[in-house]
Amino acid sequence: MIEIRSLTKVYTNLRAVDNVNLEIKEGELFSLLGPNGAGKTTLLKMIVGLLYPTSGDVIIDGKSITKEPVSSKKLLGFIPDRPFVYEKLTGLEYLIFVANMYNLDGDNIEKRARELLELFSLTNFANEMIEGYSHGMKQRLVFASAMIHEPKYLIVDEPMVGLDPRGITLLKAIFRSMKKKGKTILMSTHDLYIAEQLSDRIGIINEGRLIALGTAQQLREQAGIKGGNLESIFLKLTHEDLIEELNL
Amino acid sequence: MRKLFNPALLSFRRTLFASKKNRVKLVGLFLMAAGFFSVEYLFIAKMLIYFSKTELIGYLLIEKMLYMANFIFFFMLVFSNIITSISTYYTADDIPLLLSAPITLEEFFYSRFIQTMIKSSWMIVLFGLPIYIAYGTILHGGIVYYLSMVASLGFFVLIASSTGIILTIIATYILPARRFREFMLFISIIVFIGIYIGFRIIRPERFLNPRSFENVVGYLATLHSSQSLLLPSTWFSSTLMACISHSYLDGIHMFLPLISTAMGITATGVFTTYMFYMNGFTKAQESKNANLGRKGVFYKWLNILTNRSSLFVKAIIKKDVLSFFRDASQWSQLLLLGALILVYVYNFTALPLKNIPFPTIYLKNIVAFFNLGLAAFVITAIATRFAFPSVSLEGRVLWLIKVSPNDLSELIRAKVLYNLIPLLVVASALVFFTNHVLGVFNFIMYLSLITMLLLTTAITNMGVGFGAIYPKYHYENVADISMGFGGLIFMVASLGLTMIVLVIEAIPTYKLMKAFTFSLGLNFYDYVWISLLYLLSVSIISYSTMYVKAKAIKTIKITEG
Repeated sequence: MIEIRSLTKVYTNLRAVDNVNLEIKEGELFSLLGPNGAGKTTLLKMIVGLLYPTSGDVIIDGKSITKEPVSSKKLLGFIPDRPFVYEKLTGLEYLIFVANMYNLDGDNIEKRARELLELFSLTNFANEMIEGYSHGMKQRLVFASAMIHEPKYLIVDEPMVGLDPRGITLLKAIFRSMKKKGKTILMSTHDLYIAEQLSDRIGIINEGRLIALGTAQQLREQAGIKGGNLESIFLKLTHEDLIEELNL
Repeated sequence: MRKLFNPALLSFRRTLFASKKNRVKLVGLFLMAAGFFSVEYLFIAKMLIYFSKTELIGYLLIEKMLYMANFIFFFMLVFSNIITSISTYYTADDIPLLLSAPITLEEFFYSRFIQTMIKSSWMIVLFGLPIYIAYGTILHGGIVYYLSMVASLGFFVLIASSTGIILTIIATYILPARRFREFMLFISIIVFIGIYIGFRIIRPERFLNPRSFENVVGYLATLHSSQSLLLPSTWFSSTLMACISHSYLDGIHMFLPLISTAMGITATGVFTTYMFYMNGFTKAQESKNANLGRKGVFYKWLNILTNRSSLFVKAIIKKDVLSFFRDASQWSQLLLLGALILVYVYNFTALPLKNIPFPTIYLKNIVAFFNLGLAAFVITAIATRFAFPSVSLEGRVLWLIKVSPNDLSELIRAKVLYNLIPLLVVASALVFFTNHVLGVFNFIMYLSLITMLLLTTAITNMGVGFGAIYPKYHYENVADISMGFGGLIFMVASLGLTMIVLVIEAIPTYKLMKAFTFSLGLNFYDYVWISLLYLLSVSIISYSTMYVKAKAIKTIKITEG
């Protein structure tokens, strides 16, 4: 289980994440929604240990990410919103490199790397340098690399950005399959349709605070909307007056 | 046209004045530059005063020195512009934006030209200015000298920049696809041959050793021998020397080719851009297959070399080695390193030690000991190019390292190991070779090698450490990473450490050397304090290494990945 305890991140003039408390259960697919600049990426970065919180902590299976980073990080796989990778390595080299980062080596790893390249339709580019890949290909490679050590928890920041419809369909299938295997997925997204389709629970974050939490149905109740889709709930909770302001 | 410079100007201004920390850095940088400037000026001035007092050949030596300095500067400027223009004209992030904007290729050429010229020339110009000013003040150049210095230096730099950029544009057009590696090799070989031939033509060692000439007339004739009139460095030097000797008409004669070539070659740059740039740029977008594949001999060697390291360290080293040899902007810097070592060793073999009229064995050992300082300087220069940028080279992929279940000290260890092996090889080879040439005592040989080994380890650790403390994760050109406040701080710290260690070791070494040379005995107390002083130098090296490493790890931890 991932426990987020009173997590806060303050920059000089900004409270990016403000006292967030949240528990993500094992086998759950949790979506984090929020407008641009709401603090989603900062929150995810603190969960995976990329950023140090100003206060609070993240506990992964009983291990603190700040106090026991090495053992807790073994359980995580992270996919950032932008696929920055080593451009001078080939796709296959990159996957093996990432496996080595997680202390995995040997023939089995190369086999697994090739399987993942196949899964993400990158086999034909396995021995080409990544600098020649398109944005979507790099994004798929990062997905493959995050799965190479078969993490228990997958943390994904904006998974659908840069993917073509085929890639999105594939990703949805992978998420469903991982869930079946008991893996936990935490993703931040702007794609409300996908969030509604896939998620067990949804959290809405705005101005660094978690303002709503629950299943799609529970969120409808919190927003006081009957039968609306997630978009109307989201707008109601985050930009209540947006439509009126725009006079549309 | 001005609009094209605005983004660069604004971001430069914001970087400088954005925070108090940056302003402090700016002041620090200014003070350091002023310090360096003053030391270089004093050194050159002292040398000029000494030469100007030497009858007959003094003025000729002064003239020759300026020709040599400018000849080297010219080649350095051209090479530096070639390297910079690859990124400013072909790989910079804003190129697609500029090329899609409604501007002419001429405007594009000039906007990039000025950026390239400033980026690749400021350091060499800064290095040259104290020399030119010293010539003006010591040799009473007068106001005309300074005015002509500013003007002719400007045109001199302009010619070098245009030459470098034109060479890049043509070579990128001729060579297929994204073959910067081959292109760089091609250019580097040309530059190398140029420098080598230049050195052989000038043969600077002869001027230090007049006895090698058959007679005085021969020596003077060599000093008098004219420089190639086709080289911009000759025009520049001759303009300056003419102004010093108040022969203004001669000065104008040399200034005219400088100005006309500068204008002509800049126009040629525009013409070259129209002719070749777009085709070359299009070719540069093609992808390429990776060399040095995982199944090759190279990879197997890497496995053997890193056999005893942890998997994480091994992976980082392998990745860095592969990236290094696949990235021309990284490996091409090896050629600069090669040139540095070549000049160093060449100068050493040319030392006129055989002709010195007093006990040479004593002097040779002293020279060998202080040569450690020079060797450490070379190692610092190499470490600035390679060890310092190594953490920054993780670039925007630092996130991957930070989310992986590994201690960050392992990252520093990997980077140190990766740099240390080649640096140790170079350092020991330099010390061994120069000591061998000098024919020093065995004791001095061992002491030099051990001290160099410890210093190289410390310099490498400090290079990697300072690089992590002052990182530049978003860079356009690898060479830019070390060219900032952090790079300067590292160089000062490294040279400071070298100086402290050498000063501490000089006392016991002198005592031991005296005992060896004159067969003097040493008592128990002598041995105790000699050991204590050596121990002190080892402790200082270890402490500085560990301090920088700890600070580096702390900085990476709080860096947003």
